[in-house]
Amino acid sequence: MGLPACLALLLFSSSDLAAAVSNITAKEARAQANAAMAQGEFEQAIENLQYLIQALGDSSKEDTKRMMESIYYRLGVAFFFTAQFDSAEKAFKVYLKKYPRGAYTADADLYIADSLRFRDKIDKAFTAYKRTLKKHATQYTRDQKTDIYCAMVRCKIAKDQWAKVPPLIKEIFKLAPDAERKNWAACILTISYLKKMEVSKVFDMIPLLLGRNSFASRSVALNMELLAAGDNLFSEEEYRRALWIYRIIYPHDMLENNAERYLAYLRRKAELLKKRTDALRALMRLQERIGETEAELKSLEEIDNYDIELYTRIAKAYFETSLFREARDLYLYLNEEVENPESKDEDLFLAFRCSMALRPLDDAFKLGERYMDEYKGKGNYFDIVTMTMGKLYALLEDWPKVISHYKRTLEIKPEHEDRAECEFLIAYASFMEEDFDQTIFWLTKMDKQNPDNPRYVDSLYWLGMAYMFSKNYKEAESYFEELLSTDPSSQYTEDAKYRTAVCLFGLSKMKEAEKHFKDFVAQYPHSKLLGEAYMMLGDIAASDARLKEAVTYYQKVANYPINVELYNYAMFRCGEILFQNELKYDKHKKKLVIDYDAVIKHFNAYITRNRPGSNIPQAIFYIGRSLWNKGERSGALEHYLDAVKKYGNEVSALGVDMILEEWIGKANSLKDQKLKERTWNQVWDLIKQARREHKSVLALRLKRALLYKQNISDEEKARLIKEIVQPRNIDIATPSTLVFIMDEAVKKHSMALAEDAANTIVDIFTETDYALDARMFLAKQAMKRKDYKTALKHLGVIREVFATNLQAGEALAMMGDIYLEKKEYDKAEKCYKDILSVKEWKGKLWPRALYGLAQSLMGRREYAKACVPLERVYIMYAFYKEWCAKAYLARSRCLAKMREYRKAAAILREMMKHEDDYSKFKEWSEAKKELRKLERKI
Amino acid sequence: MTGIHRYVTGIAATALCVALIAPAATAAGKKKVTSKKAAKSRYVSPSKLPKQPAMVTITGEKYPKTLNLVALTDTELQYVKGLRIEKIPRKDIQSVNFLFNRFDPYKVKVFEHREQFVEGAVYIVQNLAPALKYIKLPDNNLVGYLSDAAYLYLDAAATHDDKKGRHYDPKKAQTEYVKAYSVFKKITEADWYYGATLAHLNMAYCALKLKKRAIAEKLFKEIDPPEIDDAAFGLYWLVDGMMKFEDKKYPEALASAIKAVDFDSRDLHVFPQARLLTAYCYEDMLDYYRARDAYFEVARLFHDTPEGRIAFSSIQFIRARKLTDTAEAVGIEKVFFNSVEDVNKTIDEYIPKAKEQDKIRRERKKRLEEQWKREDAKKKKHS
Repeated sequence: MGLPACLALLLFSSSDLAAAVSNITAKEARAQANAAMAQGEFEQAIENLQYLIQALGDSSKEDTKRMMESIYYRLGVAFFFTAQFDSAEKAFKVYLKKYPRGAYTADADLYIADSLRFRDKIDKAFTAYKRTLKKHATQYTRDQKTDIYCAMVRCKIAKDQWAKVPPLIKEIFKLAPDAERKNWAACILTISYLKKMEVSKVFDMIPLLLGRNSFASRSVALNMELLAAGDNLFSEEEYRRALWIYRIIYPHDMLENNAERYLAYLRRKAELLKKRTDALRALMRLQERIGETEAELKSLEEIDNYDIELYTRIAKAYFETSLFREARDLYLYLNEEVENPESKDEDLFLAFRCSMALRPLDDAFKLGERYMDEYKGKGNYFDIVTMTMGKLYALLEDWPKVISHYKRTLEIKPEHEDRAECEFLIAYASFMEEDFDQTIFWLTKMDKQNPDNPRYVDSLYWLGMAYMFSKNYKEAESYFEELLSTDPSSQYTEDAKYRTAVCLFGLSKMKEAEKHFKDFVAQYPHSKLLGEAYMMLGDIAASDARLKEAVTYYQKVANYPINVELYNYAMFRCGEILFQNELKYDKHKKKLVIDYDAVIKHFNAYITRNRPGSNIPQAIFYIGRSLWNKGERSGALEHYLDAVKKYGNEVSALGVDMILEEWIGKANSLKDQKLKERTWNQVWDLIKQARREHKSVLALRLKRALLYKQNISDEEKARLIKEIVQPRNIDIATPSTLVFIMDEAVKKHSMALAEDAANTIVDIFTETDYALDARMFLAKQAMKRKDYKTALKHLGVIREVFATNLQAGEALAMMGDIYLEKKEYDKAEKCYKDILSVKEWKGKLWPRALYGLAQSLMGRREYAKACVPLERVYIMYAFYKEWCAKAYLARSRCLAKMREYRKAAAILREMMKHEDDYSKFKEWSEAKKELRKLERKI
Repeated sequence: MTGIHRYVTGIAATALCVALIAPAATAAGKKKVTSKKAAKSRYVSPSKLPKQPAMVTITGEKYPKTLNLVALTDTELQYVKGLRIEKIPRKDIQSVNFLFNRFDPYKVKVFEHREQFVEGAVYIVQNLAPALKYIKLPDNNLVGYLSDAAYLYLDAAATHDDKKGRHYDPKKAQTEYVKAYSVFKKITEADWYYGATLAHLNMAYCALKLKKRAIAEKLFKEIDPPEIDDAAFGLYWLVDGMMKFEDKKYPEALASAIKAVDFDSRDLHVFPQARLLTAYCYEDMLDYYRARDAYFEVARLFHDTPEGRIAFSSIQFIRARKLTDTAEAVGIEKVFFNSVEDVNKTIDEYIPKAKEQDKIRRERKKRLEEQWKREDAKKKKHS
């Protein structure tokens, strides 16, 4: 509804049109007109005013003329506020003609312009405004001028001439004495900028647009223009600017609420203003706003609710400008709000994607899990979400999680579009977890079920790797060969060539392997595997006794990046070769000698490089030995002691103990007694210095060294032992000192201290050989206490970690004994059989294992079967008398249990023939007793 | 001028605030007219009638429309009819329109326009004072104006709190926050008013600004988290974020501030502050790229506000230290799109332009203020 109609409705509704003016005096008519005008009853006023004009309008009296001026003017006003703009215009024109210099000329001109505008004579109205502004420039207040400019802006808007709006608005900015009209002007100016897509100028207006009760908060026109501009920017991928625009758009419902609340406020205010004669123009302004707001509300009704779309775009713009936290919250909100299942699905997926960019990734995983739970394989994004989640777990190197996640994914959705990829990643994660069987299982499954999968080439490589690490070199080689023939230019080619050579080496095909390695270093001079390749070439040359060649290869390793363990291996292997073999001729070029200078040079270079993880003490050890062997004895000893001083205050510097032991041996072997004494005195000096410098670890280390001094007095030795074997030293003792404390404590029956030392070794030096003795000691102590759980724990570690060591065999035997004690015969039998499967343990351990095996069979009452291993003991291992004595007796008992008393007795009689061998064992007397019993039975 | 206005005009704003804090006292400062006393006699002599009646128009059945109020009790509203004191049960009143004949809202707009926030607020409070004790009456037109006053005090406080602004004066800022707090407190008495929660939260906000953390926390805990469409949503999360930021819980503060940014981006009293808070959080979490983005946003969009000035100096700091010079890693989440935007370049181009514009703006404002002064002097002379 436009302003004129609005004005008319409001005013007519409250007017009583039945005012009769006949039969009243002019005075009465004037009083009635004034009263009606004061009450806002303009229609009633018109009749009286017209009556007065008719009665007194042509009067020539000056007083009457003066009095009539306001009557003429008021008639125009009354017509105006009853929306009779044509009549109002005429009335004001009459007034201006009669009173060209009257008091109301400025107002009359303004009303004429307003009347023209309300009669849609926009161009004429604009000209009229312009003219009146010029004509009455000094008469109008700032308030009125602002009103005129506002009206002129409205004319331009009505003609859709937005380009002409900004200069007028600028005048309003300059003139407006109040914030409200300034705010209105800001909004109109914003629309004009938006029409021309002058977005930067819009940003300057934002504080004004967001003010409290701003026109922007209820203007449909402005919000729609903003929406269009935002969409424009969005489609041009200007996301940041689009975002800034979108964010100031009011949601549909909020806009409606604001407009309705404002309309109610305006109506209430208009009711009050209607009764004020001094605020007519304010009333007009208000009525105009009422009309505009009603029109806004009507047009809003015709616009579909755009809130969800708006928030979606804001979220997308946040996403595109990397504001992922902001975007995620909005997507989660949209996920709750939207009803369309597809959009719901997409919003949750997008929230997940935002979370992927944020650290920590916990929220991403939570949202991913939520997606998996909510959609159970049916969401549009299930495949991408699950695939990405797995990759994120892989990014964190959480391999067990990768495996469990993809397994769950394939359980939920076996027809996953990236099924092969899932299976491949399960295999890859399994490889990382060193579960090579699972790697082979999943890769084989993948290739079998989906031979055309995009991961086929990758699978060949990883199958080769899995087989190679399982030491199945033959199978591994075949996969690498297949990979090279299937895709010779794949990303794995270089690696596969190297691995093929490694497999050949593993298969002991040295010549072929060497050829492959040589080809590899020639073909890939910048390969990251060059160091390893040279190391392998060194190994091959060394195995073929081409020692000089091996040294050259090993030394080349140092020129390339390589894993430090392999680097150390190559360097020390090279050092050993140089140290142990005569590789150069003496100065007469007649005899081959060891090149100690080369050893010293080699290890000095190693120390200089000092790569992280280098074994410096070991290198010092070699240099010292080389110096010694060269005859530079004092130099060698000093070299050792310097190293001890430099590195000896670190508990974990195990190499220092090795150097120290070497130093002790060499120092004791000095024949020059004075030099020897002087050398040992250096240790005392060093201890004193260490004490001064609070290097307690070094001091304790050196004290232990003093124990090995030749000709040390018992008194001094006892004093030193007492000082060393103290609970307070446990924390500062090196592993060798801890072993010493452990042994000495056992001798003194201080088992608690011994166990403390052993436990420290196990806890801190877990991976060292020292831990082997400590664990064995702890296991034996536990067995004594019948704490089989602890004993089995330590023995199990010895068995696992030191698999090839003889003590591992002993551990197995002890484990077997424990299981026998616990009557867990299957486990006991397995332990003994494991011992029998290792050829290296053939000595003492085998008869023990055979005897243990028989014991477990006896425990199960399988006496006939038990006889077999027992017989093997005394026939094949006659050297081990203790076990033979046990075996004779045990076999006899088995036969007796089978009621074969004669055979049983025969066995014992045979045993009795070897009195010299067996009489010292307790079984001897038992055998004699049992033989007598058997003879009685026979 | 009526008796009311003669009395009120002379009172200083601070004194008025004291009156606001103690609503039980009558605006005249006389003894409280309790229902008990009023009930003693239904007839009163004209000399004993309250000197500052509040004129209202009441919507409801049975009662005369325009009333001259005397007192408000828990159950009834008392008014004068001739020389009698009559009562209306409160439950019968639907809406109330106070007649502030001397109050011109347009003048408030003028004050606001000239950034004379305190003057605007004082003008409102002075004119509304006689009606303040009736604020609990349903659907009245008092709270809207009172909200305007409260926000004007808040704007004044922010202006004085702005270290980079021309009117920086922390003591004055504190005084204005106290006044804003008091007015908001009064508004919360109108429990029917949709903005009551907002006023309550604004009290917590003012308490935070006054460094009264315990009070702020207590007030905050009295409010349940508002719904997203609620007008109080943004302020609730802004206050929550501010407290968490004070506790150095940056990720939590960021999460709260983001809620305010996401769902209340159209409130000038919330949005720039919330966005600035996100920038602080990002900066403290060492995410300089996002801090840069947020600072730039506030600096660009709210250049002539206290928040805009802080953001502008922060963005200059970040660029000067080259904290965002290295290219940002693009995560797999953005691999699908190829949107490349050189924000550093945009900011570097913006900084000198903004400095120039700021200079022009300051000069223009200065000229304008001088012009207003001249006009006021002229008016004074004429009057």
